[in-house]
This record gives sequence, structure tokens and C-alpha cells, in this order.
Amino acid sequence: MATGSRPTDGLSVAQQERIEHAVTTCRQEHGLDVSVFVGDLILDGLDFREGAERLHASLGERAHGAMLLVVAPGQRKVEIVTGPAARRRVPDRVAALAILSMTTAFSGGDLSGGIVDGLRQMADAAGKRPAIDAPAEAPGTALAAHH
Amino acid sequence: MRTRTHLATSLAALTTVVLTAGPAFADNPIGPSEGEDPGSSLGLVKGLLLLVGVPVLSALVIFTIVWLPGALTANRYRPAKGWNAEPVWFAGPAAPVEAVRTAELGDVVRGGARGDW
Repeated sequence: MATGSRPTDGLSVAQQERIEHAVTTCRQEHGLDVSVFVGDLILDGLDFREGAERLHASLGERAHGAMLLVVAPGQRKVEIVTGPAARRRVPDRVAALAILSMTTAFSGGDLSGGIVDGLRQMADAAGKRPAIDAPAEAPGTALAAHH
Repeated sequence: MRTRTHLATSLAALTTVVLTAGPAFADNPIGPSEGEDPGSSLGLVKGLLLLVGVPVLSALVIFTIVWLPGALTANRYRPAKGWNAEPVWFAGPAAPVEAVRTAELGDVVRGGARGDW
């Protein structure tokens, strides 16, 4: 994957704050339970969609109404997984449009910008709803490699 | 008429003498010649500042202008260079490692979309 030069070192603090802000906006202004995973998946033989669905399922009780955005910068893949209730608000067609604008930004090197714009598109399509509570843990928690 | 020509000739001659001899005279009627008065010395410190400091400073400013934009975007994500950072999960489960390990996919139809770049 690497072409000789040093790989990039992840999201900067400012970029993480932008994503956190976008996630919070989705929850508070659109009542949409959004979760964003940025990192390569350790798949152990699963295909990427299965790995992403597994992450979505790990949201537990939230999963039914939650939308998970998985961005794997090293694998250069992005996946949106919606639970049945979330799918009614963010249909696959809307998700596909958001993916299109995200991949354009990602291929230009703008990870956080692509994520923020993609979330905004889907949130706008989902419309306004009452705010939902923040998840148990503060957003943006760094995650150790999950074998 | 004759005296007039004579006067003009003598005036021209006088001017030539004055002009060529000018630098030799202390009180030059047409003003001091260039370089005649070297003025006060700049001094070592001022001289160094002017002749070394200013070029070095200019070089530094130009270097900074060229180098800064590259340094600011050095950590930018470049698709071809891969990614080695730890995953970050925004609004994820409280105990992500455990949650992923014990996740039950269940009999649920999930929607969404995918893409690559």
C-alpha cells in the first residue's frame, strides 16, 4: 500500500473536532443516531460489508435506529450501514449520493471535509426531529486495535 | 561684435579649466564632486547588519514562504500512502473492543451504501 513515503498519521485534533461537531449536529438537530468509524478494518476473512455490519451490530440496542459510517482510509473503502429504523429516514439512495460526494473528497485527500459533508447531506435528507441523547461515551474515543 | 566673440571664447575656456580642475579645489564653485567627502563611517555593527543581516533575513523570509505551505499539509491524508493510525470511533459503543467481539449480527436487514476511491 505505502509507496515508499511515510504513511499519514491520522486525523488531527481539529479534524476530529469537526467530525464530532457534525455527529452532534445530526443527533441534536435531526434526531439521527449517527456514529462514525475512521480506521482500517481487521476483517479476518470477512468481506468489508460484513466487517462494517459487525461494527454496526456492536452498537447494541442503538443499532436498530442508528446509522454507522465506516471510513477506511488505508483500504480506501467507505461503507454506510443503516439499521431498519434509520433506513427509513436515510434510504439507500440518499446514502449512495452521500457516498459519491464523500469519495470525491477522500480521493482529493480531504477526509474530515468529506465526512462532514456526507453527514450533512444525509441529515438534511432525513429532516428535523427532536434531539436524541448523547451515547454513553463521549464521541471521538480512540479505539485500540480490535482483534 | 569682435569683443563679443572674444568674450564667449574666454568664457568657454574658463569653464573648461574650472570643470577639469574642479575636484582639486576645496571650495568647488559647482559643488562637491561625488566621492570627495566619504561621510562618517557606518561602523562595524551597522555595516555587518546592512551587508550580512539584510541578505540573511531576506533569505530566511523567502525560505519560510516556500517551506511553510508544504509543512502545514505534510500530514494530510494521501490515498496512495496508506494509513497507519489507530481507529477512531465517534459516538461508538462504550467499550468498543468488547462490543465488537460480542456483536450479534442477528436476523436484521441493514441498509446503506458503499464506495471506494
